[in-house]
Amino acid sequence: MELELVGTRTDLSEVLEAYDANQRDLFGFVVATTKSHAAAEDVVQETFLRLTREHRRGRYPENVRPWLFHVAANLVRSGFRQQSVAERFRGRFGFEEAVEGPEWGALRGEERDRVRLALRTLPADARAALMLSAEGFSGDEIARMLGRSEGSTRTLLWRSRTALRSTLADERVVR
Amino acid sequence: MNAHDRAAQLASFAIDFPLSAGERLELDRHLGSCTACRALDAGFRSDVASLRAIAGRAAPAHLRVAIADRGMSDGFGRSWAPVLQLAWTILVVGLLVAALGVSLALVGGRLSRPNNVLPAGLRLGATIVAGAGVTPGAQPPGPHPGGGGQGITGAAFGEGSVWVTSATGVIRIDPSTNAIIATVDLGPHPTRIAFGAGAVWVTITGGGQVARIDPGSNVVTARIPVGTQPVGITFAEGSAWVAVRQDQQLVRIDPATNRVSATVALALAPLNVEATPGVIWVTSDRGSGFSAESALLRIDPSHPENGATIVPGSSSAGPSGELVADGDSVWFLVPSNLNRLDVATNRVTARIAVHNGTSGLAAGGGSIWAFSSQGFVERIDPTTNAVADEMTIALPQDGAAWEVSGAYGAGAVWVRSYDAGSVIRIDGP
Repeated sequence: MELELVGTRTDLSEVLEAYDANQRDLFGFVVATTKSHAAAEDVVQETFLRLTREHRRGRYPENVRPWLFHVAANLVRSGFRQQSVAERFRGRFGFEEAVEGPEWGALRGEERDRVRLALRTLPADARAALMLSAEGFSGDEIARMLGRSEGSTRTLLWRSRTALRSTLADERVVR
Repeated sequence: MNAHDRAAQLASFAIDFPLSAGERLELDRHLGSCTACRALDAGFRSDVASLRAIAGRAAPAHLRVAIADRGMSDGFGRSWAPVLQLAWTILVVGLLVAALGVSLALVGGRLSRPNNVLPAGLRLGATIVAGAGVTPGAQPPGPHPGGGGQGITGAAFGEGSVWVTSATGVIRIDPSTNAIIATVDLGPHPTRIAFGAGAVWVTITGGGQVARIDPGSNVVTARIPVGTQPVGITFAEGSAWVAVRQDQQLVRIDPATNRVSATVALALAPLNVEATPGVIWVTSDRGSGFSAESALLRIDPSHPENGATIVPGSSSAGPSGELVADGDSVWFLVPSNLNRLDVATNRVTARIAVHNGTSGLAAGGGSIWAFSSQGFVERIDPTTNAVADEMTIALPQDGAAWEVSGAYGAGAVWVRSYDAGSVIRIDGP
């Protein structure tokens, strides 16, 4: 019975085609949302592995692009990643956010892209919402991806845009 | 909410949602008479375009390889009959044997291989049952302020023996016989091990202490309170140096008194610590989860009162990790990369791609060894700054969630997986 569920390389090829078509936007979205290349690699890999499993179960999504962003956004929200050592410590010991010291402030001066830098100052849910909007998803789709109501998503996007505008106008960030 | 705020709200809504006829009329009327809100509306739309411009970013090439491989072995393979799983394993191993030494480094070596596969010149010396830290999937003992249950483990070579941590102590192995010659109970969650002043020093992360062990008798001779969550430890300049993570401090212990003799406040939370002559090096980070950012710190052990400085070019997105020193260089892990820092110039001189999940490092035998939680062992040649050999060792299926540590000594590499309950010996060339 189990052999009937076995996938083939043809199945995988379809997944890889979806990867080739969407990896750039999806990886960029996760990097912008998580601020971490390593986390983005983990999230994107897990997203496509889940697509593989859906395909195997005969549930390949009709519109794969929003499905991929939906899954990736969920993974980001849930804090998924293949944990490295420090993150295990956080999970185990409840690491608390450190107060920013002067040394770190100096490091931030290395950032070049003012939009990217301004985006980094926003909370994770704001970054995710703004990037999904920039990717062209509708408000309804963004709400579903973020697991929010339409009204809550409207408010989140409005406040995020206002905060981004304010940050971009801030001389401390523009440098 | 005044009319301008309302217009700003509607201008934002209009980008993502269809406005009702009434909302549209309200917005158009206001924008028609308000220059400032028209500018804000244009700014919102300009920001969307700017964000779109920074949105696309190509994923690294090795990610596609990893997905293709794991898609076969994980996504599809999970429900295969065992015989087909075996066939797939044999196929992968066969391909590996054919390709070793030629192409693994080029393709990033991201294949998933659960068996022991060692390159020529290296051989599996022994698998020593050393007592599991925990049963796979279970919580390690000790306090869990954060509620998590991931295993941190330590391995080190000193006093002629291999020392590894268990859930509540350390285990000592004689490399000449591969036999366990002592177990020392310490308390909740020992993590890292160092040697100096004729003693073995172990951080007890769950207990906020450093234990001092007499290697002659394998007896704990002192328990030194150092703060909340001590993790990394090294011995240098006549003292033990301890990274105390929760307190964001580096602590110096005087072995003559077994007391803390100096404390260095850090701007970042420390994880591991190493030393080269005249310098203490600390991996550290701030933030949490995806927001984590890390950096390497350096401290002058002669003047700890001067505090720590961030090494230029060492900052990275993501959390910090393990580090080792091999004389003129310090090697430290950031996610998916191993950085090499030249001690003389205080600069990062090489960045080497290693497997995701690489959690342990060791220096010895003219090489740097990197250990991943998925069973990959990579040998880095310091003369080329490249992965010279890659091998795999058998770890439990759940190994991906656990840290793997390693040490070099007695001409062998010793690999400790926390939940595997074993120490694997790889004999060098």
